[in-house]
Amino acid sequence: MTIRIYDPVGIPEVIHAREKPKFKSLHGLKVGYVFNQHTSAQIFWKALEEEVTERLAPTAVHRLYKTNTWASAPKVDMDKLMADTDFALVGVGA
Amino acid sequence: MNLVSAYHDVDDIEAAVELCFEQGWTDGLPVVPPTQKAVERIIRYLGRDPQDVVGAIPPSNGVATIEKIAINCVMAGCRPEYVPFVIAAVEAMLEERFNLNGVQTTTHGCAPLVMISGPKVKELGFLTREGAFGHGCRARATIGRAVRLILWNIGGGYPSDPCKTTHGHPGYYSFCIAEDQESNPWAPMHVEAGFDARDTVVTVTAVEAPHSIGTGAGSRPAQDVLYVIASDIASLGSAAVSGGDMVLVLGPMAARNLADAGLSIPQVRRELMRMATRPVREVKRRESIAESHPWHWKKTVDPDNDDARVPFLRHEEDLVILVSGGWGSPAGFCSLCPGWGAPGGFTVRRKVGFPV
Repeated sequence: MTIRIYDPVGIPEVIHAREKPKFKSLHGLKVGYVFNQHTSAQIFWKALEEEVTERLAPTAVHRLYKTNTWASAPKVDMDKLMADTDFALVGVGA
Repeated sequence: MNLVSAYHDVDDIEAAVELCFEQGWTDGLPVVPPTQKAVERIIRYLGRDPQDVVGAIPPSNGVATIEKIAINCVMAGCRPEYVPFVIAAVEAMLEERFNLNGVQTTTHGCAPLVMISGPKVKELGFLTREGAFGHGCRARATIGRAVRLILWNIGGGYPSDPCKTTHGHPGYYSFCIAEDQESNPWAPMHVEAGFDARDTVVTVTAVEAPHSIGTGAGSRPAQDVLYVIASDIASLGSAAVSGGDMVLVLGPMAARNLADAGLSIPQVRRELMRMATRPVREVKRRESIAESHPWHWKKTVDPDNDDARVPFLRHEEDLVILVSGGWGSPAGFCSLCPGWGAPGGFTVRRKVGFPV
């Protein structure tokens, strides 16, 4: 006798991402930072920002400091950051 | 009935059980093979379209359809009448304030605890006395197990990648408790939270494993009982130093002791909030979240005053209290389940919807 058993694994939700702009260089663009404020990444993050400033000379800098290190940034804040910048760096930390 | 999930044909029950292991469909314990007959039995009981969507389960964002939930409930050993509890728990965990993505992936050791209160507890034979968190009750064991299998199979909550809990705890296999209304001297937990007494309600909070507390409720006055519980709440390694929710399960003896002293549940919470503190000189010896962080304990007291007391319960509503367990010895045992702290796993409640 054959037993038929069904697959319990969920099919991932399809999220349609907006088209990504392609840059030949990141120099002189508007940069965004999404920092989770985790204690283990604070020194690294400061150094990263200094390096980006020195090498890429961004024309504008926007910082989004998450109030909850362990949760996604609010969509409204991310949408604003994306509207205000050309590209963003996202820190996962820990 | 048209099931859309992929399927495998095997020769016998042993092959079916082994296939579930080989496919990675279980977290180490054997499961009941999800046959078409068993899956359809649950869906028929629910009276819902198998492709109804409850939500997407992080971190892999697998879509939890009624069909996928039913398959996992069969694997957990649920009777059909247990499945509405599982659906209510999934809906609760998907509330933004629960931060399920974080709960599933944190290095901390918290797991969603499913707490059930209301008339269906007795009707469906949930055991609520001895072994309240433990063995011996199919309803609790399989509802908790189904929630875990859903987090595993639909949410992709696999250890190491992407789930980083350093230790986890046994509740990651199954974690469910029900309130014992008969020994509860106060209103049921769901009534206290604003639901109707006739409702059956699932409450979910992400917490550590239960820590046993010998409160001495069989011989000591209420203030001593509270003092002992507060001492456990204010544990130096607890994530509660940054705030957040936790669960206190009062054994019937401790509950009776406190109620006989004239204390209501809100008064118990207030007293524990007042007592569950530690001096700055002790708290500053442990590493915590970044000092710049708005939840850092230094925002709650003067950090330069070594005698100032740091609260481990910041708001009354952070403490979920229910009554469950055996009467026991004069030790008056209770259980404390500390939460994840300020990052999430916060308490969410859902009325259980049963088919009419």
